[in-house]
Amino acid sequence: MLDFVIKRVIQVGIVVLLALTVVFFLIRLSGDPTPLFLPPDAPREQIDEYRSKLGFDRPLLVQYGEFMKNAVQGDFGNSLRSKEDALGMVLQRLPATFQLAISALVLSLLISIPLGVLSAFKRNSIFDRIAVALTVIGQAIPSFWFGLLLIFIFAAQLKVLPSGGGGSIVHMILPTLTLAAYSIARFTRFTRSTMLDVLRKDFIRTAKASGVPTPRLIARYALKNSLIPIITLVALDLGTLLGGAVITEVVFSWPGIGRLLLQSLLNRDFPIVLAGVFIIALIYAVINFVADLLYAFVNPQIRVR
Amino acid sequence: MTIEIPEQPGSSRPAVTPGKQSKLAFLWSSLLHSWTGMTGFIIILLLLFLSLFGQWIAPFDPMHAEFSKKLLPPMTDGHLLGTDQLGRDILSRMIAGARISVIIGVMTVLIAGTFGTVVGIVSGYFRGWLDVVLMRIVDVQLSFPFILLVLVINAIIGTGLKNIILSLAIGGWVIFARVVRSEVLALREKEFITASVATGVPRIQILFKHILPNLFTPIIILSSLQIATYIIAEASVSFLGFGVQPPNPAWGNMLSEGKDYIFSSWWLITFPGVAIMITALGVNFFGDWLRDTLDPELKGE
Amino acid sequence: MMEKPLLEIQNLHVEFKSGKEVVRPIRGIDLKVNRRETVGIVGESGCGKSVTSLTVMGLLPEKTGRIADGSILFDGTELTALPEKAYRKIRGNDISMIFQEPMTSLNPVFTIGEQLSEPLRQHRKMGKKEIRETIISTLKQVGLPRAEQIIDEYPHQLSGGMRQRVMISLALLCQPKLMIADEPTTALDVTIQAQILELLKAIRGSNDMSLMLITHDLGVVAEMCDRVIVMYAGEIVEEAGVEAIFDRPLHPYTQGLMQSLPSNNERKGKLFSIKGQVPKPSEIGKGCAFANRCPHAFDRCFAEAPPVFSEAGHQSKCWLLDPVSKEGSRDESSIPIRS
Repeated sequence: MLDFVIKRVIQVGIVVLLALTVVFFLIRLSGDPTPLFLPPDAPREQIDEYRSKLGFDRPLLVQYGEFMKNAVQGDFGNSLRSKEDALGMVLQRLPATFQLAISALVLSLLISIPLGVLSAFKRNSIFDRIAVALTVIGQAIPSFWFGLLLIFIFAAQLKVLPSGGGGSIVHMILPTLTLAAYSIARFTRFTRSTMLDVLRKDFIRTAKASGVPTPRLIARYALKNSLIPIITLVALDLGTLLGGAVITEVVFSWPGIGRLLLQSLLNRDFPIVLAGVFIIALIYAVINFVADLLYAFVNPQIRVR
Repeated sequence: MTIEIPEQPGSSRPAVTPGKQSKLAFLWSSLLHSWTGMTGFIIILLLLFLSLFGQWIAPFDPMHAEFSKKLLPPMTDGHLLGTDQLGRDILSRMIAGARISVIIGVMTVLIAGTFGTVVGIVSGYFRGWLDVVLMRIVDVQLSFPFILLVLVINAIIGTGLKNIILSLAIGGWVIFARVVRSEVLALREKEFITASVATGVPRIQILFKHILPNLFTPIIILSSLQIATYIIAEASVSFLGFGVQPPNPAWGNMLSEGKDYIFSSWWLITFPGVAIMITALGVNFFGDWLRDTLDPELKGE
Repeated sequence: MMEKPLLEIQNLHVEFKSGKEVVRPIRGIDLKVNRRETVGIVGESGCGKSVTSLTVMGLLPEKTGRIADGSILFDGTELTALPEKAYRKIRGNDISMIFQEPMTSLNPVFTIGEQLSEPLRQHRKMGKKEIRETIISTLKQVGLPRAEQIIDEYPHQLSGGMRQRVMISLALLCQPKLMIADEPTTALDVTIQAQILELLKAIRGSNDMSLMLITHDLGVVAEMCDRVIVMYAGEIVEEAGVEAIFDRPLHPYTQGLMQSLPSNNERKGKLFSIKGQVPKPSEIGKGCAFANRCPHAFDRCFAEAPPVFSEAGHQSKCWLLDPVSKEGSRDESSIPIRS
């Protein structure tokens, strides 16, 4: 067990370091960052002076070494605009993103698993057909457009919900729905096909032959078997959810890291971009690690003894 | 060899190799029996048609702004789908946008597919330390959300049509590398390959004679499904202010510009979104049908 | 006056619907299983023997399969019209079943104890402790060592033979009146096959229970059964006591099965096999289903389906046994009778 954890922690470290490395070199290779620190009309001498002051005239590898040394200690430098600590700014936005992502995840699981189970159980019924059609459409709608539609219907036309901003439960409804829509479609479809697969298995016939009633057969037996592949898919999709959160945050002016990251990209405020990439890669790697643990927990065959 | 028109180099054309008439006939009859496959096929044909001949079909110049005619609702003054905030015809801009989406989807698949396939073959066929290194890179990249990766890369290397294609390709090649590698690994174990190796056929020759032709089907299937992903990703990135820049009429762009008028002019944010959705549905329908027909074992998720 | 049979199937027809096509895997069978009797059902794969057992269990695929005609009388209850809820009270309680694949028939994500507690939970009013004790004692009864540990283990921790013992104990838990074993040893190693058969025989002997053994292996039948039913293409072609059938098989199909037994071939040096293939349901015409493969078939066999001919409890569906057609066409020497 300890071996497994240590191995995965090392893996998480490698993923995060590599992500930082790639983004660092991409930024440096895309142009000299010095002018970004100065007003656009700064004279050449001032730029040159600043360049050596900031160390951008040193060899790239030396800069990289120093950046990594600081980064591991949590120092990504200060924002070029607000001069605040970059990592601090990102961390400050983190709770809002978590709030959105977790509520969307919970909502999509609460809807999609019962829906998928029911759909599989009532295969080829009207209910099933409608559910399948909705999942197909749901996966083809770009989430930002779905967000716009929701704003149009509930904020512009019905005027019952706010179109953006953060703070209260009411503000969360539309962003959560937007972010959850794709996951709901995908998880429902996957739960349905996994359930259908499990219901054909020999051990389900065995349980039937033992006299287990159908509701119990589904709720206790088939569902637990289906959970293993479902957990895997959910874990794989958390990245998509995180990516979707960025877009959703922009659509609804939600004050999370996604919006911060986008603003920093637009302003070429690279310390914040690097800190943001660091945090997102870290979160994602940790989520995958947790998913693996969960996976081992529900599947006795790979339980580490 | 015919000269291909640059706008549609990835159309289903390569599937037609001489002497495979019967396979074509089989595909066609299977298409006739699948309403989703047929719907997808028709949508794809329509997209290709619009991207090739759109400039002659469009009722107005998609770039022509006429301020006096701004924000006209649909069905007024000959503007079937209305006009935008600068008085440009929305239908014409959407037709022009179809061309951008097709170019981006197809070019990205070509670049990402080629690069990923080469990496996959090198990894799977020659194995060794190179395989270990390449697959580690693939793992790391897959552990970062695709859309964020594309966004960050695009923001750093710059916007525009070429750069968004490049960004999508950088984000997308890993899927091809991984799928092709596992196909190659499976093929290596097949009897006809083992037999060729045993009779002393050179490895390069086996690669070209036996491995490559067998990779064709999985790559075509994956490509068709990936195109939808790329088109949606481009729309998202353009919507966020990167990717294709205004005044170019990419669908994502049009939605981005239209969202400021969401409280007054619903048509600005409605039609381009419908176009993206129908395109994604059509490409997915077609890709699913292709997968179910060419590779029944893969059916389902 | 003879005791009433435990299970009595009359004129059973089963249909499967796939799309617009209707397949009839069971086409009018009559069979009975007496109390404390072991009945073997033999035949090639696809002859309908497994469908028969699933029909008795009421486990035909819900949407596609149905009983088209006939009756199944079990211990005084008519099963064909039984509502699902009442059927569930019988399954795993009065009738239980052992399946062919012990590797896949147990759920991989539940412990043995969790799975074995199910029939008791459904059919007996027992406390947790009592359930556990019953399971442990049943596991011991089927010859599993370390029953106290195995109850908390997962299927993948057990070998194939052990899993089949677990399956047998699952079927045994509620002391059923009828146990159906569908090819219980086919998936196992030869050495373990014998042990499992011994176990089934011992269990049959020590319980007030009937056993319906479905197999393609005549060796197993000879070893285990009191009475044998031979099925071919959804019909019963021959039925007799185990000695009668081995001494004097009447139906050409049964004769073919006997000849293909390896022990009969050892001296000849060449394996015997019945020529041709089982006809697809769509290919069965109005005549005898076996006619196209039968070495003795004559005109009438292709024109008319044979009825059951019976002498002293030995029944067979073959025109060769018809006293009328016997005269002209029967070639006595062609029916090999074992000495």
